[in-house]
Amino acid sequence: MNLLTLPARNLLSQRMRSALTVLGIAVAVGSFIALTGLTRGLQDGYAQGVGDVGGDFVVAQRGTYSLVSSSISEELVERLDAVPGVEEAAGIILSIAEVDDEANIFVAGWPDGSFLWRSLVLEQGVAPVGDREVVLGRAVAEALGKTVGDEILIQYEPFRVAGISVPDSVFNQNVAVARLPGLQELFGRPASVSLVQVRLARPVDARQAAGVKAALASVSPVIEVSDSAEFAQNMDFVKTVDAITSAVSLVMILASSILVANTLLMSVSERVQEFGILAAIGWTPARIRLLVVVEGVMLCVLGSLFGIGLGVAAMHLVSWLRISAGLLEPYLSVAIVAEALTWVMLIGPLAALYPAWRVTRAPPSAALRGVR
Amino acid sequence: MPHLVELRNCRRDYDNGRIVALDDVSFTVARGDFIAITGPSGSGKSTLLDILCGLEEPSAGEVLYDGRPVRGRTAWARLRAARIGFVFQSFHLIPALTVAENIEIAMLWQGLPARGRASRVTELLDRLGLGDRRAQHPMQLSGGERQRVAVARALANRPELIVADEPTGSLDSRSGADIINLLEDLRRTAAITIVLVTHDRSIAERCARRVELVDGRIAFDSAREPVPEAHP
Ligand SMILES: Nc1ncnc2c1ncn2[C@@H]1O[C@H](COP(=O)(O)OP(=O)(O)O)[C@@H](O)[C@H]1O
Ligand SMILES: [Mg+2]
Repeated sequence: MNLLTLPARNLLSQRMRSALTVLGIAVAVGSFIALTGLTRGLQDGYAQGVGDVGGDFVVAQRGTYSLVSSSISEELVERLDAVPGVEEAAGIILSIAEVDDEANIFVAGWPDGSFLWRSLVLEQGVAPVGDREVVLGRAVAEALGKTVGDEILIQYEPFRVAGISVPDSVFNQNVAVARLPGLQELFGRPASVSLVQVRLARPVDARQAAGVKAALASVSPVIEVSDSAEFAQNMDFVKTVDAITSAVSLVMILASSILVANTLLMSVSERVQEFGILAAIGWTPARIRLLVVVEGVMLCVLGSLFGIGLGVAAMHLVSWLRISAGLLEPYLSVAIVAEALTWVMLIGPLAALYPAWRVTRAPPSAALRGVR
Repeated sequence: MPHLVELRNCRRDYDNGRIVALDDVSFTVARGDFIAITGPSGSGKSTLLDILCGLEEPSAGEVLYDGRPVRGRTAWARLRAARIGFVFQSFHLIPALTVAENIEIAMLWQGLPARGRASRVTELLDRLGLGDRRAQHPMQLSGGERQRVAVARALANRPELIVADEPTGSLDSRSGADIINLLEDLRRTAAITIVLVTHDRSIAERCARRVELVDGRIAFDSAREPVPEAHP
C-alpha cells in the first residue's frame, strides 16, 4: 500500500464518473495536440515549401493575408531582378484551385527558364511545355490517381499531366506546377504574380545577404522581404490560425480543469468520513490534501494518455480528408506533447486546490460525523 | 513525571455560545489509568474525548500532552499517529480498503518500510484472531470482527494511550465483552493507558477510575473523591 492506493481504489469504485472525466481531459488534450500539431505542420510545410525550391528570399505584398492573396506586378519583379547581388528574381503565381470537381490543391506557375525549374526532381515524364500542361507532386498524383498522360481538370480547364515530381517538402508534394503564362491567363491576372522567389548570386555570405535583403525591401513600400522560415510565421493567415488554435486550446484546458475540480469535489464530499478517519489515525492535513491532489493528477495522467492517442488519430483523420489542400499533415513532435502534458499536469493540482482545502476545513471530529 | 494528558479549564461551545458541550473542565489522565467516562447522552462525553486527543480544539482553555501544550491540527495529527490509538462506536473503517490495508494505512507515514508494515499487520491480525480475514473488506465482517480490526489499527503504532468512544455501543453483549477483555488485557500486558466512554454499568465497574459528566461538567471523579459504594 502507498499514497496511490486510496485514490486509485476510489477512482475504480466510481468507474463511470472517472471514465467520463478521463474522456473529457482526453478530448481537451487530443484537440490541443491535433490543433497545435496541424498548425505547426502547416507553418512548417509553408516554410519548407518556399525554401526548398532554391530561393533565398521571398518577396510578398506587404501585409498579405495568405500565400494566395498576395499580388505583385511584373514590372516590380523586373526592378527586384535588377538589385545588385541578385542572381534572379522569379515572379510566381500560387493559388488554390479545385481539381476534377473533388479536391482542392495548390497550383503554382513558374516563369520559363527560371532557377525554380532546376529544383524540380522528376520521377516520371518531363517538365510542362504547353500552357495546358502540369507537373504533379507525387502526393497529389497519388491522391488523385493520376499518371503521366492523364487529363486533369484545374479550375474547370483540362490540363495534361506532363510529369510527376518528388520534392522534399510536404508542401511541394502537394503542388501542381505549370508554366506561369498559362496560369496567369487561367486565373485572370495578366502581368501580375503572387510572390517573387529571389535567388542571390553565389557564393552567399550572411552579411552580404542582409544587405541585399535591405536593398530589395527599399525597392517598393508595398512589398515585404523575408527568408522562408520568417515568411511562414509572418503571414497573417498563419498568425490567425495560431491565435485560434491557442484560444481553443486554452478554453479546452480550462474546461477540463473545471471538470476535474467538479469530479474531485463530488468525490471528496462523498468521503468526508474517510478523511475524518485518516485525520483521527494521524494523517496530517497536508498529507490528506496530497491525497486529493494525487487523485486529480491520476485523472489527468489517464486523460493525457488517451488524449495523445485521440490527438494523433484526429490529425490523421483531418489530413486523410482531402479538403485541406493536402497541407494539413500530421505533425507530432515531442515539444507539442510536452506542452500538452505540462498544461495537464498543471490543471490536476490546480483543480484539486479547492476540493483539498474543503476536506481539511472542518475539524476531524466533525468530519468523522460526516459533517462537511 | 507530568500527566499523560491534562485539560486546563477547557470549554467547548457551539452556535456562538448557545450550546455549551463542555463547561470549564479540568481533568488529568495519568499513565496507566483505566478510565470509564459515563453520563447521560449529550452530557459532553464525546466532546471531552475529542478534545483529549485533538480531534476537536477547545473554545477556551488548553490541553497539555506529556506536559507540553499542543496546538494546531498538524501537531495533534503527528501526536495521534505516534502515540494515540482510537476506537469508535461505529468502527470507522475505510470501506474501499481490505482488513490488512485498514491497519496498514495507520503506519504509512511512520518510517516503517513496506515489509516491516506487512509483518506488523500479520502479527496484529493473528493476535486478534483475524488471520483469515486479511484480504476481506469491512462490509464482509461481523460487527465484532470490525471492531477488532479497529482495535488492531489502534495498536498498529504501539500507542501509549487508547481512546475509545462507546466501543461496545454497536455490538452484542458477547462481542462487547470480547472487546473490553481485549482492552483490559492490553492495559495489563502492554501498559497502555485507556480512556473509554460507556453507557454500560458493568463495563464502567471494571475500570479502575470512573468519571461522570453531567451537562458538560465533571459531576464525579473516583480519583478525587472516595467511590460512593466504598462508604459504609
Ligand atoms: N458540532 C456540534 N454542533 C453543535 N452542537 C454540538 C456539536 N457537537 C456536539 N454538540 C452538542 O454538545 C453537547 C455534547 O455532545 P457530545 O459530547 O456528543 O455528548 P455525548 O457524547 O455525551 O452524548 C450536545 O448537546 C450536543 O448536541
Ligand atoms: Mg457521544
